Amino acid sequence: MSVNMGRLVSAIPRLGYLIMKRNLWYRVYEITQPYRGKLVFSMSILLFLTGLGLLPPIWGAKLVGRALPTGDQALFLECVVILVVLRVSTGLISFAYSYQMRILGGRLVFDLRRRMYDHLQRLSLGFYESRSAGEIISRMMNDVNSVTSLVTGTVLNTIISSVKALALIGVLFYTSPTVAVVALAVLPFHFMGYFFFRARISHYAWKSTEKMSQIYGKVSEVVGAIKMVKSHSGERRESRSLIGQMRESYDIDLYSGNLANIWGQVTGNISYAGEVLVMLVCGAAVLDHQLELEEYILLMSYVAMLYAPVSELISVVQQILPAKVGIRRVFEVLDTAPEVEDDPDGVREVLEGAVEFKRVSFSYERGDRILTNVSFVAHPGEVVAFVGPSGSGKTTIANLIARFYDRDEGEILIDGRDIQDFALLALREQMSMVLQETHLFRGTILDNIRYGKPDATMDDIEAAARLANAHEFISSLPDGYRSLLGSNGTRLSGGQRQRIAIARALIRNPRILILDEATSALDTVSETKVQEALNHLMKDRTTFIIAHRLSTVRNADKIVVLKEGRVEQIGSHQELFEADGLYRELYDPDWAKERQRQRDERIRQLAEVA
Amino acid sequence: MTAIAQTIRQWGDSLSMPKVFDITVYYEPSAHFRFTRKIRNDFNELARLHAQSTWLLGSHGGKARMQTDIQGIGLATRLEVGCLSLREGSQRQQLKSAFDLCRAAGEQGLSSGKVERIVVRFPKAVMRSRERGQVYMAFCEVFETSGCSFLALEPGLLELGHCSSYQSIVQFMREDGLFHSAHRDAIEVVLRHLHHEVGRYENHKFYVRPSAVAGAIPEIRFVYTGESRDRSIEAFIEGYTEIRPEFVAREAFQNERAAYVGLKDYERASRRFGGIWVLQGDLVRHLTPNQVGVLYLFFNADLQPEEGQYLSWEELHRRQANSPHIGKSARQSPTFLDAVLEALVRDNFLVSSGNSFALYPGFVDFEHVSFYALGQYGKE
Repeated sequence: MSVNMGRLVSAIPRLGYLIMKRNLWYRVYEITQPYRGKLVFSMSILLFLTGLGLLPPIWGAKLVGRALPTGDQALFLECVVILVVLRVSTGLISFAYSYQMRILGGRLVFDLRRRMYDHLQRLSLGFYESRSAGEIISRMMNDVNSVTSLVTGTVLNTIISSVKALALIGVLFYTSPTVAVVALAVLPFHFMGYFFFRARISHYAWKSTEKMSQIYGKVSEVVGAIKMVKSHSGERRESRSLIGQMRESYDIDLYSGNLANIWGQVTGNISYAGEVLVMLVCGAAVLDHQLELEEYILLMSYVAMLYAPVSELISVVQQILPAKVGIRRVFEVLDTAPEVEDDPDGVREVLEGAVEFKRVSFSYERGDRILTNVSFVAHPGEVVAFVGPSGSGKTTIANLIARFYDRDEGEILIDGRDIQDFALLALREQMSMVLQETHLFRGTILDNIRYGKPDATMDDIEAAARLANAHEFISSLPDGYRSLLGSNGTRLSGGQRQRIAIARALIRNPRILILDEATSALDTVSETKVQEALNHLMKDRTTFIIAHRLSTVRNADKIVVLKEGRVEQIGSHQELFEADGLYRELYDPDWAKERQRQRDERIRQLAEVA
Repeated sequence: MTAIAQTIRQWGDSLSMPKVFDITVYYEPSAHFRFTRKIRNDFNELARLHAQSTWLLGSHGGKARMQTDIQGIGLATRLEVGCLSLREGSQRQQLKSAFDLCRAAGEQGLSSGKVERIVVRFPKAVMRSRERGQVYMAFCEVFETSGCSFLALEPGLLELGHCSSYQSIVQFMREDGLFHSAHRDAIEVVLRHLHHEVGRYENHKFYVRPSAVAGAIPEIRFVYTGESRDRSIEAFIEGYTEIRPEFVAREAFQNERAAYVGLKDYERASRRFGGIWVLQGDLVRHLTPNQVGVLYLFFNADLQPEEGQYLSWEELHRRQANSPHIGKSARQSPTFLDAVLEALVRDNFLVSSGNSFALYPGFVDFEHVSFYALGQYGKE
């Protein structure tokens, strides 16, 4: 059993996923590594702020417990001034902290989105075929934000709240161990609340994110196919469908918000019960004259402050749970290994254009076999056509030549070398594809042609357009080459779009050219012009043509006839036509029909005899 | 310390603790389904009747909920229900009630279609056969079926479905069972013809009857069964495929049902590409081609499994370098070996001791199967 390299790495994303699951927080930490200095600085500011936060109760207690009962004006004024100074300092330092966080957050978003976009560019076609564009966009835009808010807000707050809580517990134990023990008596109830709500809120966070992702997907699909929607009077139906989804999203968010609210209320009540307990114990001590009023006020302030970080921690957990869903979704993309592994040190030679398939078999993941033992040779400069009924594997062969996928078995040789020995970029730079569905980017015609070769000069572009029979109609446009195209070239006819696509392919001067049904959607006049352009394009390069209309492949040097993923016949048009095989059936439907009728008749007679 | 930790873990696993079972049922999508207020209300009423105690625990705790997922232009409903079982004895009843709800929702037209998939989540599900047994029995009772298997998606997440069992994993690896790739072409030809001629053979079903031949590849006979013999069917199929099926009377077929294999099943079982499904007791796991390739390292030159023999990582790496079952570009990669070994140990295909690995005890009893989600089973 032979295993190709593309499939070989399929175990690795799974492992990556497991590693990710185990070390999610470690990976978040890794992301923040470039900003370690800023994070430490921010945390120092936050710690300093926490320390400052512990001071007001001391002066507040002095003010209420000592200055006011004794009428000490100097102490009263001192307390007020110090409290004001503390408040102003805290405000200024908080501002500096927020500024720092905004910078950090912005850079993290930028970094993560860049990493993700780079990675998306490297992923194979299979990844895009299994997901909607909206879902991918949702991951890149929304989920990345949740990672950032987690790092810049939630994680720091968690650390600070924990430090604050520990510091307060220390202060309480130092001041009065009995009060400290009483104050901590309610903590187990907080833990119970956490276990009670965690899984549920986490699940709802997942549902909310998924639902938003589906809504993005739906919107992007409908917008992309708006012509089809309108032509089938589907506007109301699509609106209803989206409204239904948005209502569900609203319900999910409402329910999860309610859950979080209940949790918050439960937490608040538990904390309040703790405060009441301490109030009872300390109050009794004050009444027994075992505790001064000043000490009472100080202890009560600290106990109230102790529960504040606990409540903060709970609310932080409520933010962490949805953010974790976002992080997983971001890492899921980053951990997806491209099915086609590139060898950056691979061969980067200029190709001659010889292509050979040796007993190549291929199947999509867990699917049926698409190609079985396909073998053929294309010599440099030859035109090889693939014909066959729908689903016979023609486009799959083209995808394997362009290395969008890797074969399962057999060998694909380019100039006598295994296709996997070549650096992917170098290989694809010497190939061009013209597809049935031409995609033109929103922008000028000039930029669209130049997309094939960004450093092309104006002369190169014009020459390519002339060869593609496109110069004439481009020149007739008011802005010529600088005419703006709508999304996917909506202002041009099918033939004009196709000729721009041919110019874009020509400008690359490829050694290997793949034409996948390049003229099948055109009318006869357009087809003639496009065919002329293609004849220029095919000159001196190995060309693979996939065509349903067999009249377009008559002049091919070699025709490979495919049926259900297997090669049925190979030869020139004349040879195949005379061979009375599948090619003749495809080429001459009347003959095929008559032949089939005779065969059916023969079998029917046999059946009747039986 | 490891032994103590392991003992404590095993003791913890065997404890009869209250458990929450989160059940998610996915229904077939439909482009015409509308999740109207009426459906919503009717479902809420139904859920009230089947209300279970959950105390808001688990992922789906609380009330049963129906949701929709966009699938292409269709809408698929998803039902989520959680049930908390405080005592082990009550698990089955609780689960039964939850499955009843799933079934009733489908039957009363409150879902987008038939049940397509059922997924059950509970902690350490792959390790807890007792709880799986309870799920199994509740499922069989409600859906009136003779059995089901559990596909392990995650350690705590199982999908219920049905398996077609083919052969032992060792037979698959040696390709010396009843399923041989040499017959795939013939099977494909007949399958394609049957797909093209839908209607002509609708009253008959087609199978193959494989039989072992000592020292050679197995033989297969194409057969068809139905009310009565139809010679025209034989003539038609022979005329179009050059393969003549034999008729087997329905009674005779039923008497020897196990000897016959569906064409699609034979085609799947004889594949030598892609991954495979493996049944370990009641658990099904998927092995990727890379994992199958690494398992071959534990077989000797005669393709006999070296059961009980621990192989050091270095030895495995040495074998990997020369293995024809591992892709050329992966043969030198230690990362590849590490990654695959870890997955195989986790999924109980291998056991490890320090830096050595051996086949899991009972490996030879593992079966090569096809796993079908509930909605797919009948269709296939």
